[in-house]
Order: sequence, then C-alpha cells, then structure tokens
Amino acid sequence: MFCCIYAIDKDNSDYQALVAFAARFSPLVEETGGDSVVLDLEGTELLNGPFTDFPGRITRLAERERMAVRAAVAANPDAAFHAAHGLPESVFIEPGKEAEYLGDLPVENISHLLADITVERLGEIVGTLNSWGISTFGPLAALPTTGISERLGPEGVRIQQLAKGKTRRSIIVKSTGAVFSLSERLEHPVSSRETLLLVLAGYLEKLTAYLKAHHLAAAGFELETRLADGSTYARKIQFPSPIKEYRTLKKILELEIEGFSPSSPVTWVRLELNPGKTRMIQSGLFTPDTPEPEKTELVLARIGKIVGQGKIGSPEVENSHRPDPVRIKRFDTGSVFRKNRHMDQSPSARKQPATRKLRPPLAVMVWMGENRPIRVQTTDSGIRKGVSGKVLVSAGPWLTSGEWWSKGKWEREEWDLQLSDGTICRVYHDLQSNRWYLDAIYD
Amino acid sequence: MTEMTEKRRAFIEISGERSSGKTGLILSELAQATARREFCAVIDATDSFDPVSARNAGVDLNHILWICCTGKLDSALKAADYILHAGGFSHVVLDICDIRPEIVARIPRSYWFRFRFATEKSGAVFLLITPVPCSGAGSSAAVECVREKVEWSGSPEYRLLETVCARTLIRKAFRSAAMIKAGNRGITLKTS
Repeated sequence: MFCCIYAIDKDNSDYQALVAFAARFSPLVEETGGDSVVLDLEGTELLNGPFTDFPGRITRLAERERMAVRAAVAANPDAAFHAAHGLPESVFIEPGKEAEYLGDLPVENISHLLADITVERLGEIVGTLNSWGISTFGPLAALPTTGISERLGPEGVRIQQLAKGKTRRSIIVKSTGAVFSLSERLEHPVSSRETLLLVLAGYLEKLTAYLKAHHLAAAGFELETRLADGSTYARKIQFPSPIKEYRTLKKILELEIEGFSPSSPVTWVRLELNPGKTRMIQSGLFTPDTPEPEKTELVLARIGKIVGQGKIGSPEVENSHRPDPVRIKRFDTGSVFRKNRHMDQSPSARKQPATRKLRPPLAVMVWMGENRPIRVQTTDSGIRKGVSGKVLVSAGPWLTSGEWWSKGKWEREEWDLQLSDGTICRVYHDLQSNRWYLDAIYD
Repeated sequence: MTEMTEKRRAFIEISGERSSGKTGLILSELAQATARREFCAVIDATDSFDPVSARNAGVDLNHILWICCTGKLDSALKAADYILHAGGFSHVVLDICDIRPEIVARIPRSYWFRFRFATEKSGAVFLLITPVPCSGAGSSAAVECVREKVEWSGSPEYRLLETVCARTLIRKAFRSAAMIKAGNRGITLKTS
C-alpha cells in the first residue's frame, strides 16, 4: 500500500519539512511534484498501525507540527497521488475500488508528471476530452481503450490508466537519511579511461554494499566528472528494474563510458546510485520463462554498444497515417505483466501479405507505359540485393499524402508490382521530388 | 512448422527466394508465441522488420525485442550470440533474408554450430531466415519456402494484392539432440 501526503498550502509550507515528516513513517519516500510525497507502506503496519486509520492519523500529526496536509492511502502510488490532490478529505481507498473514489475528479487534475507527457500535450488531450463531453475520471475510465489509443495515442492510454487508478510502478526513492553518492577531488588527476574505471569500480563496490545494507537496489546511476581544462563529462542512466548485483552494475558502467576519451586529466569525480526497491517476483509453474531483468539490462547495454543507441527495444506503432509510423521504445519485461494484451494490437480483419520494409527506401528506375510501370530496375545497394525485371502485374496508383501543414509533409503514388524476377513489391513515386523508390517487399 | 518449434532447443533454417512466404511464416510463429506471453527476439540485419505487418498478423509487439543492425552482418551475428546466451526468450529470429546470397554463403560454418549449442543450452527456438541454405549441419532442421501462386482481386484499374500462397518443403527433418547422440552411439530410438 502507498500513501500520498499532499501539502495543501504549498506556498507557505516547507517542502523539506514535509519530506522529513514523511520519512518518520517509512524509509521509502518519493518526492513527487514539489508539493507532495509518496510513501511505500509495505511492512509498516506494526509500526504505523492499520492502513485504514493511517490517513486520519497522518493529518492529525501534521497539524500538530503546523502543516496543513491531506493524505490518501491506496494500492498504487498514482491513485494515492490523485486522491490526495483531488478529494476534499484524507481517505483510505480499498484495493479494487480506486475507480469509485476517483470517478468524480475532473480530468484537469491528472498529473502530467505521472502521465510522462508535457503540460501542453496534457492540455491538448484534456481539451479533446472536454469536447467529447468527458470531464471527469469516471467517464474517461469507461471509454474503450482501443478507441482512446486510436484517437489519442499511447499518451491517451496512459492517462486513461491513471483515471482508472490501475497503474503500477515503483516509486523512485530518495531516502533522507542515506545518500548513495561518493565524490572526490582526485589527488592525482586521471588521464585514461581504464584508470577512471578502477576509481569508479571502488566507489561502486562501496555504494552497492551501502544499498544492500538498506535493503535497496540501484534504480539508476549518475556520473559526473570535471576535467582539468574546465570541461565536464556526465552520464545518467535509469534502469527499467532496480539492479543490486555489483558485477552487473560495473559492467553497465563500463559499457556506458566506453566511448569516453578524456581530452585532459579528470580532476573530480562523483558517482551517485539512485535507490529503488528490490523487485521480488514469484514465478509460476505454468507461466512462461522471461528474461531476467538484470541479465537483460546488461545484454541490452552490450548490444547497444554494437548496434548503437536507439536501435534496440520493443517496436511500437504510432497513431499516425504517415508511412512507416514506427518507433522503438524501451524493452521492459516487467511492465508487460501488468497490462493485458495491448488493445490496439488487434489483428487486421483483412488478411494482408506480410511485408518487409526497406529502410531507407531504395531509389529505383521505373519505365512507364500507358501510365503504368512496365519495368523496374535498381542496382545492388551495398549488402542488399537489388530488383530487376518486367512488371507482370501492377495494382495502383494509390495516392496517399499527409501532414501538409508541417515539414514532414509527404505525397506519393504507390504501386504494388509483381516482377519477372519473382519479387512482389511496393514502389512509390514521390510527387514532391519526382523520384521512384522501392518501399517494401511482400513475403 | 509448429510441430518443429514445439520441440524447443531447435535451430531451424528457413530459406527461400524473395516473396516466397518466409516472413509470413515467421510472423505467424511469433504471433503464436506472443499469444502464449512468451518473449521473442528479432535480430534484423537489414532493418526490414515491419511492426505494422507484424501487428496485423497478431504479434504482440510488447513481447518483441527488436534489434536493428542497419546492414552490419557481423553486428547481427554478435547480437544473436549475446541473446542466445542470455536466455529467457522462447524464439530468437535472425533475419538475414535481404542480404546478398554470396555474402551469406561466406559466413563461417562455426557460427551456426555455436548458435546450435547455445540454442540447446538455452531451450529456445532459433529461427534463421536466409535467402539461400547456409547453415549446413549446424541446423537441427531446414525448411524451404516456395511460392505457388499470387492472388490478385478486382478489375485491372482497381486491382488489389490479396494473398501470396506458398508451400514449405522440409529439406532436413528435425532430429533432437538425444536422437543425434543416440545415432552417434549406434542406437536407434523409436519415436511415436
């Protein structure tokens, strides 16, 4: 269970005092939004009493310390956050009844920080919801998720999950007592990456032992160095799941700074580990194997060094009509368990042949006859085999265009072709550049 | 194909010419695996994987790890090695389908044996999609896709590509590690 304590009069309240107050009830405190904190209450019932009485007790204790607060206890931190901010009184939300308690809150109350979007984008989505007649959490939660995904994209789905009160996440802990950071002005400046790694390995060993003593794991790390010429080098990385093994963290740190060649000696270094709660998973007898989070993180870091950042992860199809509306998001085995099969993944009703895309599209030469392609040819492009042949069957032209209001404007004429060399492909004529390209191969 | 992949610890080579149905076969297999909530890895040598097409085939993209190698074959082979040794994935697909056959033929055979041993250890199914057969004795089984016909619908002015019909031929039947060990010792195993 989680408790959110919200400072009602945030202009006159001391935020650090609020954080220190919260730390008395749980060692796991997240500073959320600058006016509230979220506590992880798991295992504190003996210390703090029953969770049902906790919100009232917190409010009374805070009043004695001249802090005006509202508290909400719920099964997940986001539901507790919205309840503390939006409801008129401190409340305990029974697990499973989040939607009931949050149903009447206005959609404007949704936190852009928890939805992980900008304030402007949240404003746009709220405006759209209002135009549909949706003004509170309840009706938003009742809408079909597929429709939300198609019209508002993945951000809309995240906002709906917040409205339902069904999100699950780990809080990012910033313990007031312990700071998991080491910094040092180096007596002998370090000129090479290998020596720097030795220094950092020593810090890392101490910090991971420190974390272990607090029954915590590393949710990410921050590295900062200052060089003799005044420049700085910094790296910051967040893991999808907290890691507690020293060797895994050391390897990830090594891979992260692999490309760093100091232009002048390093004179000052700081390494900080962001604490997170150790994840406990109970595997089932009949559930399929999953990649171990710690091992996966290390493997992804290794492969990322080979193929480049941004080239490894889970594919995601964006809600757009533009050609190839695909992006790569972080691969996270943990979050997949918490959601049902993604609602916008329903197979197409009309079975279509599978396609293989060409990225980037390959320039081709096309001969036309009676306004239809009659021959296509391209040369072998590096490692990739080209296409060449007469057109046996053609389908098209299919005109498509979009985003005429922006720099990403496209306008093309698409053809599906069956060639004499056996290839069945899609080519398009870019009407802006007047060039032909091979876009995809049906296979 | 399903019968082969159900056996696990299998290295299956899928070869065939362009537009012979290899990708459709793989997507169908990934759709079944992700429907069972299993995680699959796709090591894409030429960035050809189309998530839109995969989604339409029923693949749950949240259970897919996609590694784009941007035409670097050696990166693709290294990435496949890392993924197989890491474990946790039920299906690992190495897609080198769009690479020129003469380059594929030059890949040292030792890679395929290495992948085979890693596959047997990890318990995954390793699917190699290639334009021409190249794994030789390294694979547990090999199938070839052959296109039979292409169906178009509609009048000539408004034609639509409906479907590509393909057939898979088993070039090398599956033999489990146990069967191979038994064969080496001169023992015949009866299979049901």
